[in-house]
Amino acid sequence: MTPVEYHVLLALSSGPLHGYAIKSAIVADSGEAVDPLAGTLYRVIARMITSGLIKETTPAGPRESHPGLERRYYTLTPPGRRALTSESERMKRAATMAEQRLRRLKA
Amino acid sequence: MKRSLVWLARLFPARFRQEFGADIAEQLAVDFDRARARGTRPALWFWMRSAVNIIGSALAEHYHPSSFTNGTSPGFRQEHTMRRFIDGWQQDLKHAARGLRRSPGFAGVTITTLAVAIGITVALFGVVNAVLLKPLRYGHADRLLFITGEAPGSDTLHAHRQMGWR
Repeated sequence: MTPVEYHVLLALSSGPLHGYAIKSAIVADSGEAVDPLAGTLYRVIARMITSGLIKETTPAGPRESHPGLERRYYTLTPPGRRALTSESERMKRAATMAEQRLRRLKA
Repeated sequence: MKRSLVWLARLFPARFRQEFGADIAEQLAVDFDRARARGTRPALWFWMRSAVNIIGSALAEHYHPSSFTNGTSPGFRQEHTMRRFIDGWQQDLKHAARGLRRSPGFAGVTITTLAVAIGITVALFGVVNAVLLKPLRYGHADRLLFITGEAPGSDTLHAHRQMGWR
């Protein structure tokens, strides 16, 4: 899973979001380390829809007002939630391992 | 400048544009305005990065489509998988044809090698089929005997005659 894919799942774990809100959440969640450009982000979103990790949805609450075309909202699917969980656990294990090895290097 | 970026998004395939075109245009416009608010240099830098990104992504989308429409139905996904499979074959064939056209010498050697190999295989199969696989043209082929003898003063043909060729 690429960092952008992971952060799309992470952004949508807080609820349905439209494209630009996903982008803003990615930048905020990653501390500006991940800032996908438009071409990259929407190809990732398209791939993730095709692979069934996310899907288009209608938000329950009122939509944000928007001057252009109606915005599309996306949400996590059950396989998307499972992918986010397993990838988060894998990253946690890797981070713990890295911390232990770095401590050993310092000692 | 902002408009030129949005215009570049037209390079994406029509079906992708239909699905994501408006969102891409929004992100380009908002991010360009933010970069411009920081100054001319950040705006120029953003424009260059975005232009390269849009052109690259559009080309990639033409050759390796990530999606054609919203893929929520299983039917779509099945069709999509089949289409990607066929597209993959077409891509491979086109790539091979282009490669062969670029180097005719290599193409000649490849085609000759293939022709000789196929010829040898067909000839060998013909021999194996005639000698080992194909049944004899008359019935009870399993009752045929091969008679031979090594006794001094005798020969196989004579023994055959004595047996009356039964």
